[in-house]
Amino acid sequence: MNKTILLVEDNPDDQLLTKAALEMNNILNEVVIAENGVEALDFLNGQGKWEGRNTDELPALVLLDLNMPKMGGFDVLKHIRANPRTELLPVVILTTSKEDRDLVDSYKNGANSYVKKPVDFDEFTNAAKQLGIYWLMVNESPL
Amino acid sequence: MSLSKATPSNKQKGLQVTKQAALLFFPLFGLLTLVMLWFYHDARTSSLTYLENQNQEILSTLRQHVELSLNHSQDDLDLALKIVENNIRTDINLNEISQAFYRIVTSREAYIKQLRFIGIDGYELVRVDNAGGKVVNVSGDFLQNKVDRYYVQQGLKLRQGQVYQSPLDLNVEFGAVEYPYRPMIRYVAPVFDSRAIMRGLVVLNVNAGAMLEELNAIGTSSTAEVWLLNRDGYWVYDRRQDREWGFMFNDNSLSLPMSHPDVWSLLITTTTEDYQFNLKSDQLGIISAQDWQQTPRLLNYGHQEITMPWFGVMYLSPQAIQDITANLQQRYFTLLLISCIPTLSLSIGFAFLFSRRNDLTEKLIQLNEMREADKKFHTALDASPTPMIMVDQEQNIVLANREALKLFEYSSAEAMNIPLTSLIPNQYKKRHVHLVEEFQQSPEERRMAPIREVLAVTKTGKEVAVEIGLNPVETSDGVITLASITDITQRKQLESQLAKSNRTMMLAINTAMIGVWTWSVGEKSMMWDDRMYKIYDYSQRPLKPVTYQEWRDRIHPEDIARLDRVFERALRSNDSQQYEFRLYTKDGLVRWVKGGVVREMHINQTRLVGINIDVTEERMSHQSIATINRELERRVTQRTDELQQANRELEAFSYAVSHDLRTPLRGIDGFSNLLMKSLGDKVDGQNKEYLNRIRTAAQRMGDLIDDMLTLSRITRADVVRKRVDLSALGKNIINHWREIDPDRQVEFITPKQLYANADSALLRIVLNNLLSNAWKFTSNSERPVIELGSINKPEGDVFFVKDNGAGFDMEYVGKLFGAFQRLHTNSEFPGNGIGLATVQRVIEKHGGRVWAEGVVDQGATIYFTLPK
Repeated sequence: MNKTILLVEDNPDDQLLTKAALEMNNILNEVVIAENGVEALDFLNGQGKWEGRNTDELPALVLLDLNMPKMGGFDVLKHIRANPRTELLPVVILTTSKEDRDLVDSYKNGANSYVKKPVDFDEFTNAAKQLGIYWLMVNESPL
Repeated sequence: MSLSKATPSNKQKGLQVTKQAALLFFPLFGLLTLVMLWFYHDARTSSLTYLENQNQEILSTLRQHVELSLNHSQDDLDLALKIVENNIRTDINLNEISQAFYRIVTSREAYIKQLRFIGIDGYELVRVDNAGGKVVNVSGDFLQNKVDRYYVQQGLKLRQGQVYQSPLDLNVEFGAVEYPYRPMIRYVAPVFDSRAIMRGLVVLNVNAGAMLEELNAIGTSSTAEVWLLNRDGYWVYDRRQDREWGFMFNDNSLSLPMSHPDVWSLLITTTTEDYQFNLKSDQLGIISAQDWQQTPRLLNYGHQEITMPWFGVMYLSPQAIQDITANLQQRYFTLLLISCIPTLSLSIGFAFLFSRRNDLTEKLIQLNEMREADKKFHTALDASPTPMIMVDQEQNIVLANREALKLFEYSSAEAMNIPLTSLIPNQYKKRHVHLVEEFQQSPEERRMAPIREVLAVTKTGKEVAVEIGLNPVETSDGVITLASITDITQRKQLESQLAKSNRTMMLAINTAMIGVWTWSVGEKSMMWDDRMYKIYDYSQRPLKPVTYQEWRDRIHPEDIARLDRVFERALRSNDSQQYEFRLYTKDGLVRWVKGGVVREMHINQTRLVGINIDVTEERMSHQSIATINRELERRVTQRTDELQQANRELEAFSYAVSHDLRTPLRGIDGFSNLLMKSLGDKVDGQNKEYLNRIRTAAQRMGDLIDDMLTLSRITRADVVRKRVDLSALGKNIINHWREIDPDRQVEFITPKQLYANADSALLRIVLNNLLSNAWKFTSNSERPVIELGSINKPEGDVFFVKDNGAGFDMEYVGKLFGAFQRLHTNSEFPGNGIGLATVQRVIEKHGGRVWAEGVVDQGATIYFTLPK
């Protein structure tokens, strides 16, 4: 069965566009949306909104935005890597930021990829396609 | 030199010396006179002896002369005799004889008076007369019979070969003595024929006057008289002619036996061995005599018969002797007079010596005592470290101690009795004489004469500055001056050095505005200089000096204890102490003072000497500078903080821009896209165009935001310079464009390597902009060429990117590098006008310059420099 994709994104436009881009590339995995970092961790730990969820079912991929209210992407990433249960989870940073600082910090905190969201939707669609092919089909996950 | 007061006065001494000198002189002079007399006598004797010898020699000469004359006469006689003998050998020819006789007489007319041939009967046969130079052959009528004459009688007695020589007498004519006297000698020789029968007589009358005149000529060369005496003692020659020829007149008073029998007796006792003598007597004078008859013949012609029956006498009368010796006397007398002078000086000299010796003898005992004292005095004087000299009234140095000799470089002997002026440089001599006179006039008043500073000169001419203290010492010789001399050359030098350093110090004190104070510890008042009063805010120097307590009252209470400690330290050590304190001005203001203090031991009192410098202003300015510095630092920190804050805000802003501005754009683009896809064919061409325009606009804005962020990033970026190969960078960028735009054929010219010292990331941005522009603007060119290179200039490399594209109008070159400034429409060449602004920002951050050249439709060149 297809595993879920956890999309951590506060902007509803981006949520919609990301999902559209994935669908247009026939990546039909269930996309779970976390509005912010807290929700993302809730989902992974079976808390809050996801109270009682089987936490053994880890998502196939986490698409993580950096700038979010309540808890930013870096904190989420740190928590994921700090938790032995989730430490091997593939996390792709998907952000609007073009700052080198953000890129370096992401990799330092254990991000598996860093993808910049382009303004051009065609390019975005193309990026989503590449991500899906790579992380869901090509890459062998340790999990 | 002794300073005895018993020494007789000079006047007495002079008298004594005169007496002594007279006592010496007269005996000496007497002795000298005797010696002179003896010398004179000796000289006279030897001179007379010489005269005697000379007279004897003259006599010998006379005798030789007479002998020669007689010989000549005999030769004449012989010649006449031979002529007659030859004539009578055959037949007698009186005429021939007469002629021959004539020739003989003529040849000897000065001597021969008469030459005759007389027959044995007494008649004259031939007669040649010489009457005063006129030779006459007397003819027969005047010939006379001479048979009764003594010479004929004598002749007739002669044997063959014999000759009769008559005595020297005067010619007698007709029974009387011929006058003027004609001294005559007659020679008679008998003439025999071959049968030895007498045939007559040859008679030769010789004019003896000529001979006597020659004697006279010789004799007058002598001062003595010359006498010729015959065997009877009559004069035949005498300068006094009245004594001559006495025998001719039977006057025997005119003969030596009568006038000088003693001399005569000596004359007639002469022998062949002892034929000459000298007789000397005061009454007589000197007589030198020779008996010529006894004298050996010098000339011998075989005329054995020649006789010289005369006495030759040289006579010097007492008067003549007197004349001769007078000269000698005069000479010796002059000599005596001359020798008087040295004798006199010798006497005086000895008298002085004696007088001194007498002085010494008289005072021997006294002297012995005094000598000890003197010795002590000398020793003390010599040992004195002060040079001292003693000068007598004539200003001659009579004593100089060792130090004085050393100072003036004289030996002890040299210094004695030289005038004091020898020690005075020439230019001061006049003044010195004046001073001496002044001193001598009133020595008492100057018993302790003021010390004078003068220049003195040493033997070698070195000038020394000295101080002279004059001290008159009265002795019976007069006033002697004792001068103690101090060599102050070194002191002078020290003084001048001191004065110099004093001046320097005063300059320092005045310039640095240092106040100086002195306080004798325990004294009530202190000594302050003017500056001190000024520092302590006195308007002028008060009448009474400030007291120690007054001073203390002015010190800031917080500083007084520290100041006391400093003074205590200063009193304990020789080191100077530095301190700083506050004082109150009269208005109660605080004044900062820097001080220094040092101990000074002054005889039996300790003093503190110190300085004060007002450092209030210095201190104030130090304080204000510190305040300003602190304020500045604070402001800098504040500004830095503000700047950092602004930077942080700018970063946050950029961050926000990159996130928050782009996200809506992405939405616009994304949803437009999705709308177009979902509507599919339902959307017509017009609406499709609108949707595309929305998307393009969104995308352009995205690019704009990206470029703006780059520009702002560059502004904040640090430049990290290293060696960058611009060529490699350029190739990289062009290759990128070739991949994107594979349809275009663009020539790219660049050297193999093109190095610059720059920030590699920033240069990449520069080249990316420039090369992209070139790529863009050559899109309409027929044969597009892009060149990246450099030009070597003395001021450094100038890099350029050149293309043959659209170019630009140089009129608008000023707008080229402004942000958002564009020279082309977007439809011509897309762009946002930030590229060249970014390039300029990068180049400026490297300290370089960027400029452009362009021609419309021909291309553009962008130049830039990157200084090392």
